[in-house]
Amino acid sequence: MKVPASTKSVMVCQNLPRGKRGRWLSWERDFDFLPGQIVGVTDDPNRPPRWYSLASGNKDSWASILFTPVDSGELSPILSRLVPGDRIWITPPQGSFLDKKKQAVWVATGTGVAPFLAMARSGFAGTRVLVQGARYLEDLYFREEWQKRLGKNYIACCTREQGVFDGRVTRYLESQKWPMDTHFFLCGSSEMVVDARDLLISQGIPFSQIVAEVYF
Amino acid sequence: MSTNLFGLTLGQLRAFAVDLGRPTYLGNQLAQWIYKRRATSFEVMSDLAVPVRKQLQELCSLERQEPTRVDESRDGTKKYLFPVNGKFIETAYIPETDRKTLCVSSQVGCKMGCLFCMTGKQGFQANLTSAQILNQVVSIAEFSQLTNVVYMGMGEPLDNLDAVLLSLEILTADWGLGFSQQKITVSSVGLLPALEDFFNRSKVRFALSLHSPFDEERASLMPVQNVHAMDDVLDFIRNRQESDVRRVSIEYICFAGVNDTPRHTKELVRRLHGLKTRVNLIHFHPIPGTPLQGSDSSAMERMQRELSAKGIAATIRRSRGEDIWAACGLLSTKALTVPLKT
Ligand SMILES: Cc1cc2nc3c(=O)[nH]c(=O)nc-3n(C[C@H](O)[C@H](O)[C@H](O)COP(=O)(O)OP(=O)(O)OC[C@H]3O[C@@H](n4cnc5c(N)ncnc54)[C@H](O)[C@@H]3O)c2cc1C
Ligand code: SF4
Repeated sequence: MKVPASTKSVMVCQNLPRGKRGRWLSWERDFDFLPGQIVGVTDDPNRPPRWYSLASGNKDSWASILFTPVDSGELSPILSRLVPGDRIWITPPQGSFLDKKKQAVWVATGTGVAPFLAMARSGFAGTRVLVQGARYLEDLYFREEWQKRLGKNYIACCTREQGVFDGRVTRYLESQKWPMDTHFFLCGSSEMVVDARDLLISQGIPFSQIVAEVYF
Repeated sequence: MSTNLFGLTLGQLRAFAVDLGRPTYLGNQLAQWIYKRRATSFEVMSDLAVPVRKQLQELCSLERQEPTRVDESRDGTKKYLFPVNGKFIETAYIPETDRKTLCVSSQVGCKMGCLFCMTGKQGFQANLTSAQILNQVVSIAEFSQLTNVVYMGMGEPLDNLDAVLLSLEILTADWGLGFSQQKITVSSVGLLPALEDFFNRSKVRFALSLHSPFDEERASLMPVQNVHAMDDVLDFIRNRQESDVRRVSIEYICFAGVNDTPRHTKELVRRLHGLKTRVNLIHFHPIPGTPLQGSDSSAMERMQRELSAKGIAATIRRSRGEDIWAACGLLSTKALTVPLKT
Protein backbone atom coordinates (compact mmCIF):
# COMPACT_ATOMS: atom_id res chain seq x y z
CA MET A 1 0.00 0.00 0.00
CA LYS A 2 1.55 3.27 -1.12
CA VAL A 3 -0.76 5.67 0.67
CA PRO A 4 0.07 6.68 4.27
CA ALA A 5 -1.68 4.66 6.99
CA SER A 6 -3.69 7.74 7.96
CA THR A 7 -5.38 7.74 4.53
CA LYS A 8 -9.04 6.75 4.48
CA SER A 9 -11.58 5.72 1.92
CA VAL A 10 -14.56 8.02 1.28
CA MET A 11 -17.50 7.96 -1.13
CA VAL A 12 -17.81 10.48 -3.94
CA CYS A 13 -21.07 12.53 -3.66
CA GLN A 14 -20.68 14.74 -6.71
CA ASN A 15 -18.41 15.20 -9.72
CA LEU A 16 -19.57 18.15 -11.82
CA PRO A 17 -18.04 19.91 -14.82
CA ARG A 18 -16.83 23.49 -14.28
CA GLY A 19 -15.77 25.75 -17.13
CA LYS A 20 -14.14 24.27 -20.22
CA ARG A 21 -12.28 21.41 -18.53
CA GLY A 22 -12.58 21.86 -14.76
CA ARG A 23 -14.22 19.40 -12.35
CA TRP A 24 -15.75 19.92 -8.92
CA LEU A 25 -15.40 16.70 -6.92
CA SER A 26 -17.06 16.34 -3.52
CA TRP A 27 -17.37 13.83 -0.69
CA GLU A 28 -18.88 14.00 2.77
CA ARG A 29 -16.75 16.03 5.16
CA ASP A 30 -16.02 14.40 8.52
CA PHE A 31 -12.81 16.24 9.33
CA ASP A 32 -11.78 19.77 10.26
CA PHE A 33 -9.40 21.80 8.15
CA LEU A 34 -8.00 25.27 7.83
CA PRO A 35 -8.94 27.04 4.60
CA GLY A 36 -5.88 26.98 2.35
CA GLN A 37 -4.95 23.40 3.29
CA ILE A 38 -4.60 20.52 0.87
CA VAL A 39 -5.51 16.84 0.84
CA GLY A 40 -3.85 13.95 -0.93
CA VAL A 41 -6.29 12.11 -3.19
CA THR A 42 -6.03 8.83 -5.05
CA ASP A 43 -8.42 6.28 -6.54
CA ASP A 44 -6.32 3.30 -5.46
CA PRO A 45 -4.30 2.72 -2.29
CA ASN A 46 -1.45 1.46 -4.48
CA ARG A 47 -1.20 4.71 -6.39
CA PRO A 48 0.59 7.57 -4.60
CA PRO A 49 -1.85 10.39 -3.83
CA ARG A 50 -1.76 13.71 -5.69
CA TRP A 51 -2.31 16.95 -3.79
CA TYR A 52 -5.39 19.13 -4.19
CA SER A 53 -6.42 22.30 -2.37
CA LEU A 54 -9.66 21.97 -0.48
CA ALA A 55 -11.97 24.42 -2.24
CA SER A 56 -15.07 24.20 -0.05
CA GLY A 57 -15.78 26.18 3.12
CA ASN A 58 -14.58 24.65 6.36
CA LYS A 59 -18.14 24.44 7.72
CA ASP A 60 -19.70 23.00 4.55
CA SER A 61 -21.10 19.49 4.88
CA TRP A 62 -19.20 18.34 1.81
CA ALA A 63 -15.48 18.66 1.17
CA SER A 64 -14.67 19.57 -2.43
CA ILE A 65 -11.73 19.97 -4.74
CA LEU A 66 -11.52 21.86 -8.02
CA PHE A 67 -9.25 20.25 -10.60
CA THR A 68 -8.50 20.06 -14.30
CA PRO A 69 -7.46 16.71 -15.77
CA VAL A 70 -3.91 16.70 -17.14
CA ASP A 71 -3.96 14.96 -20.57
CA SER A 72 -1.04 12.62 -19.97
CA GLY A 73 -1.76 12.47 -16.23
CA GLU A 74 -2.04 9.25 -14.29
CA LEU A 75 -4.65 10.20 -11.72
CA SER A 76 -6.56 13.33 -12.77
CA PRO A 77 -8.24 11.74 -15.87
CA ILE A 78 -9.42 8.91 -13.59
CA LEU A 79 -10.77 11.41 -11.07
CA SER A 80 -12.67 13.22 -13.81
CA ARG A 81 -14.56 10.00 -14.66
CA LEU A 82 -15.68 9.22 -11.10
CA VAL A 83 -19.42 9.09 -10.43
CA PRO A 84 -21.35 9.43 -7.16
CA GLY A 85 -20.97 6.23 -5.16
CA ASP A 86 -17.36 5.58 -6.31
CA ARG A 87 -14.72 5.49 -3.61
CA ILE A 88 -11.54 7.53 -3.36
CA TRP A 89 -8.76 7.62 -0.78
CA ILE A 90 -7.89 10.86 0.95
CA THR A 91 -5.13 11.85 3.37
CA PRO A 92 -5.81 14.06 6.37
CA PRO A 93 -5.61 17.76 5.49
CA GLN A 94 -2.17 19.34 5.71
CA GLY A 95 -0.26 22.41 4.65
CA SER A 96 0.27 25.96 5.79
CA PHE A 97 -0.84 28.17 2.91
CA LEU A 98 -2.93 30.12 5.37
CA ASP A 99 -3.89 33.78 5.19
CA LYS A 100 -3.67 35.10 8.74
CA LYS A 101 -3.32 38.71 7.64
CA LYS A 102 -5.99 41.41 8.04
CA GLN A 103 -5.61 42.58 4.47
CA ALA A 104 -4.08 40.84 1.50
CA VAL A 105 -4.07 40.45 -2.25
CA TRP A 106 -4.82 36.95 -3.53
CA VAL A 107 -3.46 36.03 -6.97
CA ALA A 108 -4.53 32.86 -8.74
CA THR A 109 -4.54 31.26 -12.15
CA GLY A 110 -6.59 28.25 -13.21
CA THR A 111 -7.51 25.91 -10.37
CA GLY A 112 -5.11 27.90 -8.17
CA VAL A 113 -8.19 29.83 -7.10
CA ALA A 114 -9.31 26.80 -5.03
CA PRO A 115 -7.70 27.71 -1.67
CA PHE A 116 -9.04 31.26 -1.94
CA LEU A 117 -12.52 29.90 -2.54
CA ALA A 118 -12.14 27.82 0.63
CA MET A 119 -11.02 30.95 2.49
CA ALA A 120 -13.90 33.05 1.11
CA ARG A 121 -16.49 30.36 1.81
CA SER A 122 -15.10 30.03 5.33
CA GLY A 123 -15.68 33.73 5.93
CA PHE A 124 -12.19 35.11 5.41
CA ALA A 125 -12.68 37.22 2.28
CA GLY A 126 -13.41 40.54 4.02
CA THR A 127 -11.98 43.34 1.92
CA ARG A 128 -9.31 41.24 0.30
CA VAL A 129 -8.50 41.65 -3.37
CA LEU A 130 -8.55 38.69 -5.76
CA VAL A 131 -6.67 38.86 -9.05
CA GLN A 132 -7.81 35.81 -11.02
CA GLY A 133 -6.39 34.76 -14.37
CA ALA A 134 -7.35 32.27 -17.07
CA ARG A 135 -7.03 31.83 -20.80
CA TYR A 136 -10.79 31.71 -21.38
CA LEU A 137 -13.59 33.53 -19.55
CA GLU A 138 -15.24 30.18 -18.82
CA ASP A 139 -12.19 29.12 -16.82
CA LEU A 140 -12.40 32.05 -14.45
CA TYR A 141 -13.80 29.61 -11.92
CA PHE A 142 -16.69 30.94 -9.79
CA ARG A 143 -16.49 34.37 -11.43
CA GLU A 144 -20.07 35.34 -10.53
CA GLU A 145 -19.56 34.33 -6.92
CA TRP A 146 -16.36 36.39 -6.76
CA GLN A 147 -18.09 39.39 -8.28
CA LYS A 148 -20.81 39.14 -5.63
CA ARG A 149 -18.43 38.56 -2.74
CA LEU A 150 -15.68 41.03 -3.59
CA GLY A 151 -17.26 43.60 -5.89
CA LYS A 152 -14.59 45.96 -7.20
CA ASN A 153 -11.96 44.04 -5.27
CA TYR A 154 -12.34 41.24 -7.79
CA ILE A 155 -10.16 41.57 -10.89
CA ALA A 156 -10.57 39.02 -13.65
CA CYS A 157 -7.77 38.75 -16.23
CA CYS A 158 -8.04 36.85 -19.46
CA THR A 159 -5.45 36.26 -22.18
CA ARG A 160 -7.59 34.87 -25.03
CA GLU A 161 -10.99 36.53 -24.66
CA GLN A 162 -12.22 40.09 -24.19
CA GLY A 163 -14.49 41.62 -21.56
CA VAL A 164 -12.22 41.67 -18.52
CA PHE A 165 -8.67 42.89 -17.93
CA ASP A 166 -6.82 41.95 -21.10
CA GLY A 167 -3.66 39.99 -20.27
CA ARG A 168 -1.97 37.86 -17.67
CA VAL A 169 -2.29 38.44 -13.94
CA THR A 170 1.33 39.60 -13.95
CA ARG A 171 0.40 42.37 -16.37
CA TYR A 172 -2.33 43.51 -14.03
CA LEU A 173 0.01 43.39 -11.03
CA GLU A 174 2.54 45.42 -13.00
CA SER A 175 -0.06 48.06 -13.85
CA GLN A 176 -0.80 48.83 -10.20
CA LYS A 177 1.04 50.80 -7.54
CA TRP A 178 0.86 48.59 -4.47
CA PRO A 179 1.44 50.00 -0.98
CA MET A 180 4.76 48.54 0.19
CA ASP A 181 3.17 46.83 3.19
CA THR A 182 0.75 44.78 1.05
CA HIS A 183 0.81 41.03 1.65
CA PHE A 184 0.37 38.77 -1.38
CA PHE A 185 -0.78 35.16 -1.60
CA LEU A 186 0.00 33.49 -4.92
CA CYS A 187 -1.38 30.14 -6.03
CA GLY A 188 -1.07 28.20 -9.29
CA SER A 189 1.61 26.92 -11.63
CA SER A 190 5.27 27.50 -10.80
CA GLU A 191 5.58 29.71 -13.90
CA MET A 192 2.88 32.11 -12.67
CA VAL A 193 4.14 32.09 -9.10
CA VAL A 194 7.75 32.76 -10.09
CA ASP A 195 6.82 35.49 -12.60
CA ALA A 196 4.42 37.23 -10.21
CA ARG A 197 6.88 37.00 -7.33
CA ASP A 198 9.73 38.42 -9.44
CA LEU A 199 7.52 41.24 -10.60
CA LEU A 200 6.35 42.20 -7.11
CA ILE A 201 9.92 42.06 -5.83
CA SER A 202 11.01 44.32 -8.68
CA GLN A 203 8.32 46.76 -7.54
CA GLY A 204 9.89 46.82 -4.08
CA ILE A 205 7.57 44.45 -2.20
CA PRO A 206 9.65 42.58 0.42
CA PHE A 207 9.81 38.86 -0.39
CA SER A 208 8.77 38.05 3.16
CA GLN A 209 5.33 39.50 2.31
CA ILE A 210 4.82 37.09 -0.58
CA VAL A 211 3.45 33.66 0.29
CA ALA A 212 3.21 31.09 -2.49
CA GLU A 213 1.53 27.75 -3.10
CA VAL A 214 2.97 26.04 -6.16
CA TYR A 215 0.94 23.29 -7.86
CA PHE A 216 3.97 21.14 -8.64
CA MET B 1 10.22 2.82 -32.80
CA SER B 2 13.41 1.19 -31.59
CA THR B 3 13.94 0.62 -27.87
CA ASN B 4 16.89 2.42 -26.34
CA LEU B 5 18.67 -0.19 -24.22
CA PHE B 6 20.95 2.37 -22.59
CA GLY B 7 19.25 3.33 -19.32
CA LEU B 8 17.57 -0.05 -18.76
CA THR B 9 18.32 -2.00 -15.58
CA LEU B 10 19.51 -5.61 -15.57
CA GLY B 11 15.97 -6.75 -14.76
CA GLN B 12 14.58 -4.74 -17.67
CA LEU B 13 17.29 -6.02 -20.03
CA ARG B 14 16.53 -9.62 -19.05
CA ALA B 15 12.81 -9.10 -19.57
CA PHE B 16 13.59 -7.53 -22.93
CA ALA B 17 15.71 -10.54 -23.91
CA VAL B 18 12.81 -12.86 -23.09
CA ASP B 19 10.47 -10.67 -25.16
CA LEU B 20 12.84 -11.17 -28.09
CA GLY B 21 12.57 -14.93 -27.62
CA ARG B 22 16.13 -15.15 -26.31
CA PRO B 23 17.43 -16.56 -23.01
CA THR B 24 17.46 -14.23 -19.96
CA TYR B 25 21.22 -14.52 -19.99
CA LEU B 26 21.32 -12.21 -22.99
CA GLY B 27 20.21 -9.47 -20.57
CA ASN B 28 23.35 -10.07 -18.46
CA GLN B 29 25.55 -9.92 -21.54
CA LEU B 30 23.92 -6.69 -22.67
CA ALA B 31 24.41 -5.10 -19.23
CA GLN B 32 28.10 -6.05 -19.41
CA TRP B 33 28.49 -4.48 -22.81
CA ILE B 34 26.45 -1.36 -22.19
CA TYR B 35 27.64 -0.41 -18.71
CA LYS B 36 30.93 -2.16 -18.10
CA ARG B 37 32.41 -1.81 -21.56
CA ARG B 38 30.32 1.19 -22.55
CA ALA B 39 29.59 -0.16 -26.00
CA THR B 40 27.84 2.28 -28.31
CA SER B 41 27.00 -0.21 -31.06
CA PHE B 42 25.87 -3.82 -31.26
CA GLU B 43 28.61 -4.75 -33.76
CA VAL B 44 31.28 -4.73 -31.07
CA MET B 45 29.39 -7.25 -28.89
CA SER B 46 31.64 -10.07 -30.05
CA ASP B 47 30.31 -12.75 -27.69
CA LEU B 48 26.78 -12.45 -29.12
CA ALA B 49 25.90 -14.65 -32.08
CA VAL B 50 25.61 -12.76 -35.37
CA PRO B 51 21.81 -13.32 -35.72
CA VAL B 52 21.32 -11.93 -32.18
CA ARG B 53 23.33 -8.84 -33.00
CA LYS B 54 21.36 -8.41 -36.20
CA GLN B 55 18.07 -8.68 -34.35
CA LEU B 56 19.24 -6.14 -31.79
CA GLN B 57 20.37 -3.77 -34.53
CA GLU B 58 16.95 -3.98 -36.15
CA LEU B 59 14.91 -3.50 -33.00
CA CYS B 60 16.98 -1.48 -30.56
CA SER B 61 19.42 1.35 -30.17
CA LEU B 62 22.10 2.43 -27.71
CA GLU B 63 21.37 6.12 -27.78
CA ARG B 64 23.82 8.41 -26.12
CA GLN B 65 24.05 12.15 -26.48
CA GLU B 66 27.36 13.98 -26.48
CA PRO B 67 27.40 17.40 -24.81
CA THR B 68 27.08 20.19 -27.35
CA ARG B 69 28.93 22.76 -25.31
CA VAL B 70 31.48 22.87 -22.50
CA ASP B 71 32.40 25.95 -20.47
CA GLU B 72 35.45 25.82 -18.25
CA SER B 73 35.91 27.93 -15.15
CA ARG B 74 39.15 29.47 -13.92
CA ASP B 75 38.97 26.99 -11.04
CA GLY B 76 38.74 23.93 -13.33
CA THR B 77 34.98 23.42 -12.92
CA LYS B 78 33.28 22.53 -16.19
CA LYS B 79 29.69 23.07 -17.23
CA TYR B 80 28.31 20.73 -19.88
CA LEU B 81 25.25 21.43 -21.98
CA PHE B 82 23.22 18.44 -23.20
CA PRO B 83 20.27 18.61 -25.60
CA VAL B 84 17.29 16.47 -24.57
CA ASN B 85 14.34 16.23 -26.98
CA GLY B 86 14.73 19.80 -28.22
CA LYS B 87 15.36 21.16 -24.71
CA PHE B 88 18.57 21.51 -22.75
CA ILE B 89 20.06 20.55 -19.42
CA GLU B 90 23.30 21.43 -17.70
CA THR B 91 25.71 19.27 -15.74
CA ALA B 92 28.61 20.50 -13.61
CA TYR B 93 31.94 18.69 -13.23
CA ILE B 94 33.80 19.80 -10.11
CA PRO B 95 37.38 18.58 -9.74
CA GLU B 96 39.09 18.81 -6.36
CA THR B 97 42.35 17.28 -5.19
CA ASP B 98 40.77 14.37 -3.32
CA ARG B 99 37.59 13.89 -5.37
CA LYS B 100 36.02 14.55 -8.75
CA THR B 101 32.30 15.23 -8.45
CA LEU B 102 29.63 15.35 -11.11
CA CYS B 103 26.46 17.31 -10.36
CA VAL B 104 23.67 15.88 -12.54
CA SER B 105 20.24 17.21 -13.46
CA SER B 106 17.05 15.19 -13.01
CA GLN B 107 14.55 17.46 -14.80
CA VAL B 108 14.53 20.16 -17.45
CA GLY B 109 13.64 23.14 -15.27
CA CYS B 110 11.86 22.65 -11.97
CA LYS B 111 8.40 23.16 -10.47
CA MET B 112 9.49 24.01 -6.92
CA GLY B 113 9.98 27.75 -7.42
CA CYS B 114 12.71 28.34 -4.80
CA LEU B 115 13.38 32.08 -4.55
CA PHE B 116 17.17 31.78 -4.78
CA CYS B 117 17.45 29.45 -7.76
CA MET B 118 17.91 30.08 -11.47
CA THR B 119 16.45 26.70 -12.41
CA GLY B 120 13.33 27.56 -10.45
CA LYS B 121 12.94 30.72 -12.54
CA GLN B 122 12.85 28.63 -15.68
CA GLY B 123 9.67 26.77 -14.71
CA PHE B 124 9.20 23.10 -15.56
CA GLN B 125 9.71 21.68 -19.04
CA ALA B 126 10.18 17.91 -18.69
CA ASN B 127 11.23 14.97 -16.59
CA LEU B 128 14.46 13.24 -17.63
CA THR B 129 14.49 9.51 -18.29
CA SER B 130 16.99 7.24 -16.53
CA ALA B 131 18.95 7.17 -19.80
CA GLN B 132 19.10 10.98 -19.94
CA ILE B 133 20.29 11.14 -16.33
CA LEU B 134 22.97 8.47 -16.84
CA ASN B 135 24.02 9.95 -20.15
CA GLN B 136 25.34 12.97 -18.25
CA VAL B 137 27.67 10.63 -16.33
CA VAL B 138 29.01 8.48 -19.15
CA SER B 139 29.23 11.07 -21.92
CA ILE B 140 31.77 13.42 -20.44
CA ALA B 141 35.48 13.17 -21.05
CA GLU B 142 36.17 12.86 -17.30
CA PHE B 143 33.92 9.81 -16.78
CA SER B 144 36.73 7.48 -15.74
CA GLN B 145 38.01 9.97 -13.15
CA LEU B 146 34.67 10.53 -11.43
CA THR B 147 34.56 9.61 -7.75
CA ASN B 148 31.24 11.14 -6.69
CA VAL B 149 27.88 11.86 -8.27
CA VAL B 150 25.44 14.31 -6.71
CA TYR B 151 21.85 14.86 -7.84
CA MET B 152 21.96 18.60 -7.21
CA GLY B 153 21.70 20.00 -10.72
CA MET B 154 18.52 21.16 -12.42
CA GLY B 155 15.26 19.82 -11.02
CA GLU B 156 13.88 18.17 -7.91
CA PRO B 157 14.93 14.49 -7.97
CA LEU B 158 12.01 13.29 -5.82
CA ASP B 159 9.58 14.87 -8.29
CA ASN B 160 10.94 12.42 -10.87
CA LEU B 161 11.52 9.54 -8.52
CA ASP B 162 11.02 6.54 -10.81
CA ALA B 163 13.64 7.66 -13.32
CA VAL B 164 16.01 8.72 -10.54
CA LEU B 165 15.72 5.34 -8.82
CA LEU B 166 16.37 3.48 -12.08
CA SER B 167 19.43 5.63 -12.71
CA LEU B 168 20.68 5.00 -9.15
CA GLU B 169 20.29 1.25 -9.59
CA ILE B 170 22.39 1.31 -12.75
CA LEU B 171 24.92 3.72 -11.26
CA THR B 172 25.56 1.58 -8.18
CA ALA B 173 25.05 -2.02 -9.34
CA ASP B 174 27.99 -4.40 -9.82
CA TRP B 175 26.58 -5.18 -13.27
CA GLY B 176 26.20 -1.44 -13.89
CA LEU B 177 28.58 1.46 -13.45
CA GLY B 178 29.72 0.19 -10.05
CA PHE B 179 29.80 3.42 -8.04
CA SER B 180 29.75 3.00 -4.27
CA GLN B 181 26.43 3.97 -2.63
CA GLN B 182 28.56 6.10 -0.27
CA LYS B 183 29.70 8.24 -3.20
CA ILE B 184 26.28 9.24 -4.41
CA THR B 185 24.05 11.90 -2.90
CA VAL B 186 20.51 12.81 -3.83
CA SER B 187 19.44 16.25 -2.71
CA SER B 188 15.82 17.27 -2.22
CA VAL B 189 13.59 19.95 -0.77
CA GLY B 190 11.81 17.08 1.02
CA LEU B 191 8.74 15.74 -0.79
CA LEU B 192 6.60 13.30 1.16
CA PRO B 193 5.66 10.48 0.60
CA ALA B 194 8.24 10.27 -2.24
CA LEU B 195 11.02 10.56 0.35
CA GLU B 196 9.79 7.41 2.05
CA ASP B 197 9.84 5.58 -1.28
CA PHE B 198 13.37 6.84 -1.89
CA PHE B 199 14.57 5.56 1.50
CA ASN B 200 12.87 2.20 0.92
CA ARG B 201 14.26 1.69 -2.54
CA SER B 202 17.82 3.05 -2.41
CA LYS B 203 20.76 3.24 -0.03
CA VAL B 204 22.56 6.27 -1.39
CA ARG B 205 23.19 9.36 0.70
CA PHE B 206 20.58 12.04 1.16
CA ALA B 207 20.85 15.82 1.48
CA LEU B 208 17.89 17.91 2.61
CA SER B 209 17.71 21.51 1.39
CA LEU B 210 16.66 23.38 4.49
CA HIS B 211 17.89 26.99 4.16
CA SER B 212 15.96 28.29 7.17
CA PRO B 213 14.93 26.77 10.50
CA PHE B 214 11.81 28.97 10.80
CA ASP B 215 8.63 27.80 9.06
CA GLU B 216 7.43 31.12 7.68
CA GLU B 217 10.88 32.29 6.69
CA ARG B 218 11.58 28.99 4.96
CA ALA B 219 8.23 29.25 3.15
CA SER B 220 9.18 32.65 1.74
CA LEU B 221 12.37 31.08 0.33
CA MET B 222 10.90 27.71 -0.60
CA PRO B 223 7.15 27.40 -1.33
CA VAL B 224 7.33 23.63 -0.72
CA GLN B 225 7.38 24.40 3.01
CA ASN B 226 3.67 25.26 2.75
CA VAL B 227 2.99 21.74 1.47
CA HIS B 228 5.47 19.58 3.40
CA ALA B 229 6.46 21.16 6.70
CA MET B 230 10.15 20.70 7.51
CA ASP B 231 9.23 19.17 10.88
CA ASP B 232 7.37 16.34 9.12
CA VAL B 233 10.38 15.73 6.89
CA LEU B 234 12.87 15.88 9.78
CA ASP B 235 10.67 13.59 11.91
CA PHE B 236 10.54 11.10 9.09
CA ILE B 237 14.35 11.10 8.76
CA ARG B 238 14.82 10.89 12.54
CA ASN B 239 12.60 7.80 12.69
CA ARG B 240 14.35 6.21 9.75
CA GLN B 241 17.75 6.74 11.31
CA GLU B 242 16.84 4.18 13.98
CA SER B 243 17.45 1.51 11.35
CA ASP B 244 19.00 3.33 8.39
CA VAL B 245 22.69 4.17 8.50
CA ARG B 246 23.06 6.21 5.31
CA ARG B 247 24.55 9.66 5.71
CA VAL B 248 22.07 12.52 5.78
CA SER B 249 23.26 16.08 5.44
CA ILE B 250 21.53 19.43 5.61
CA GLU B 251 22.10 21.95 2.82
CA TYR B 252 21.98 25.51 4.02
CA ILE B 253 22.63 28.41 1.64
CA CYS B 254 23.60 31.46 3.69
CA PHE B 255 21.76 34.72 2.92
CA ALA B 256 22.99 37.91 4.59
CA GLY B 257 20.66 39.01 7.37
CA VAL B 258 18.00 36.54 6.25
CA ASN B 259 19.06 33.18 7.71
CA ASP B 260 22.58 33.69 9.09
CA THR B 261 22.00 35.30 12.49
CA PRO B 262 22.63 33.69 15.91
CA ARG B 263 18.84 33.40 16.25
CA HIS B 264 18.85 31.17 13.18
CA THR B 265 21.73 29.02 14.40
CA LYS B 266 20.00 28.53 17.73
CA GLU B 267 16.75 27.46 16.08
CA LEU B 268 18.62 25.26 13.61
CA VAL B 269 20.25 23.42 16.49
CA ARG B 270 16.84 22.93 18.10
CA ARG B 271 15.27 21.63 14.89
CA LEU B 272 18.09 19.21 14.20
CA HIS B 273 18.03 17.77 17.72
CA GLY B 274 18.27 13.97 17.69
CA LEU B 275 19.22 13.85 14.03
CA LYS B 276 22.53 12.30 12.96
CA THR B 277 23.57 14.83 10.40
CA ARG B 278 26.07 17.40 9.28
CA VAL B 279 25.32 20.84 7.92
CA ASN B 280 26.80 22.14 4.67
CA LEU B 281 26.89 25.91 4.74
CA ILE B 282 26.86 27.09 1.13
CA HIS B 283 27.86 30.41 -0.41
CA PHE B 284 25.02 32.11 -2.27
CA HIS B 285 25.61 33.33 -5.80
CA PRO B 286 23.23 36.21 -6.48
CA ILE B 287 21.00 35.66 -9.50
CA PRO B 288 19.47 38.47 -11.60
CA GLY B 289 16.75 40.44 -9.81
CA THR B 290 17.19 38.62 -6.52
CA PRO B 291 16.40 40.44 -3.27
CA LEU B 292 18.93 38.16 -1.52
CA GLN B 293 22.60 38.74 -0.81
CA GLY B 294 25.14 36.10 0.12
CA SER B 295 26.45 36.08 3.71
CA ASP B 296 30.04 37.11 4.10
CA SER B 297 32.66 34.59 5.18
CA SER B 298 32.76 35.85 8.75
CA ALA B 299 29.01 35.25 9.25
CA MET B 300 29.35 31.76 7.78
CA GLU B 301 32.35 30.98 9.95
CA ARG B 302 30.44 32.20 12.98
CA MET B 303 27.53 29.88 12.13
CA GLN B 304 29.96 27.04 11.65
CA ARG B 305 31.51 27.66 15.10
CA GLU B 306 28.11 27.96 16.79
CA LEU B 307 26.89 24.72 15.24
CA SER B 308 30.12 22.88 16.09
CA ALA B 309 29.91 24.12 19.69
CA LYS B 310 26.52 22.39 19.89
CA GLY B 311 27.91 19.14 18.52
CA ILE B 312 26.71 19.57 14.92
CA ALA B 313 29.47 19.12 12.36
CA ALA B 314 29.32 21.94 9.86
CA THR B 315 31.39 22.56 6.76
CA ILE B 316 31.55 25.60 4.55
CA ARG B 317 31.29 24.54 0.94
CA ARG B 318 33.76 26.32 -1.26
CA SER B 319 32.30 28.22 -4.16
CA ARG B 320 33.05 26.59 -7.51
CA GLY B 321 32.44 27.55 -11.13
CA GLU B 322 30.83 30.90 -10.37
CA ASP B 323 32.34 32.58 -13.43
CA ILE B 324 30.67 30.10 -15.80
CA TRP B 325 27.34 30.00 -13.92
CA ALA B 326 27.94 26.42 -12.84
CA ALA B 327 27.82 27.11 -9.10
CA CYS B 328 25.03 25.97 -6.82
CA GLY B 329 21.64 27.40 -7.85
CA LEU B 330 22.92 28.95 -11.07
CA LEU B 331 22.10 26.23 -13.60
CA SER B 332 19.50 27.32 -16.13
CA THR B 333 18.72 26.69 -19.77
CA LYS B 334 15.79 29.10 -19.87
CA ALA B 335 17.28 31.21 -22.63
CA LEU B 336 17.59 28.09 -24.78
CA THR B 337 14.19 26.53 -24.14
CA VAL B 338 11.67 29.25 -23.45
CA PRO B 339 11.29 32.31 -25.65
CA LEU B 340 12.13 35.33 -23.52
CA LYS B 341 9.09 37.46 -22.73
CA THR B 342 9.15 40.97 -24.02
C1 LIG C 1 0.22 21.73 -3.13
C2 LIG C 1 -0.49 21.30 -4.39
C3 LIG C 1 -1.82 21.58 -4.57
C4 LIG C 1 -2.46 21.22 -5.75
N1 LIG C 1 -3.78 21.54 -5.90
C5 LIG C 1 -4.38 21.28 -7.07
C6 LIG C 1 -5.76 21.68 -7.26
O1 LIG C 1 -6.41 22.22 -6.35
N2 LIG C 1 -6.33 21.43 -8.47
C7 LIG C 1 -5.62 20.83 -9.49
O2 LIG C 1 -6.18 20.65 -10.58
N3 LIG C 1 -4.34 20.42 -9.31
C8 LIG C 1 -3.72 20.62 -8.13
N4 LIG C 1 -2.41 20.20 -7.96
C9 LIG C 1 -1.77 19.38 -9.02
C10 LIG C 1 -2.15 17.90 -8.76
O3 LIG C 1 -1.56 17.47 -7.54
C11 LIG C 1 -1.62 16.93 -9.85
O4 LIG C 1 -0.28 17.18 -10.09
C12 LIG C 1 -2.38 17.05 -11.16
O5 LIG C 1 -3.77 16.81 -10.96
C13 LIG C 1 -1.84 16.03 -12.17
O6 LIG C 1 -1.92 14.75 -11.62
P1 LIG C 1 -1.85 13.47 -12.58
O7 LIG C 1 -1.70 12.25 -11.72
O8 LIG C 1 -3.01 13.46 -13.49
O9 LIG C 1 -0.57 13.73 -13.43
P2 LIG C 1 0.87 13.02 -13.29
O10 LIG C 1 0.76 11.62 -13.75
O11 LIG C 1 1.35 13.22 -11.90
O12 LIG C 1 1.70 13.89 -14.30
C14 LIG C 1 1.44 13.75 -15.68
C15 LIG C 1 2.44 14.42 -16.54
O13 LIG C 1 2.21 15.80 -16.49
C16 LIG C 1 3.41 16.45 -16.15
N5 LIG C 1 3.07 17.54 -15.28
C17 LIG C 1 2.55 17.45 -14.05
N6 LIG C 1 2.42 18.68 -13.54
C18 LIG C 1 2.88 19.53 -14.47
C19 LIG C 1 3.04 20.93 -14.52
N7 LIG C 1 2.71 21.70 -13.51
N8 LIG C 1 3.54 21.48 -15.66
C20 LIG C 1 3.88 20.72 -16.70
N9 LIG C 1 3.76 19.39 -16.70
C21 LIG C 1 3.28 18.81 -15.60
C22 LIG C 1 4.24 15.44 -15.40
O14 LIG C 1 5.62 15.70 -15.48
C23 LIG C 1 3.87 14.18 -16.11
O15 LIG C 1 4.65 13.98 -17.24
C24 LIG C 1 -1.75 20.54 -6.77
C25 LIG C 1 -0.41 20.21 -6.57
C26 LIG C 1 0.23 20.58 -5.40
C27 LIG C 1 1.66 20.23 -5.18
S1 SF4 D 1 16.68 24.76 -5.62
FE1 SF4 D 1 16.29 22.73 -6.48
S2 SF4 D 1 14.13 22.36 -5.94
FE2 SF4 D 1 14.45 24.57 -5.70
S3 SF4 D 1 13.84 25.46 -7.68
FE3 SF4 D 1 16.07 25.07 -7.77
S4 SF4 D 1 16.26 23.07 -8.71
FE4 SF4 D 1 14.16 23.25 -8.01
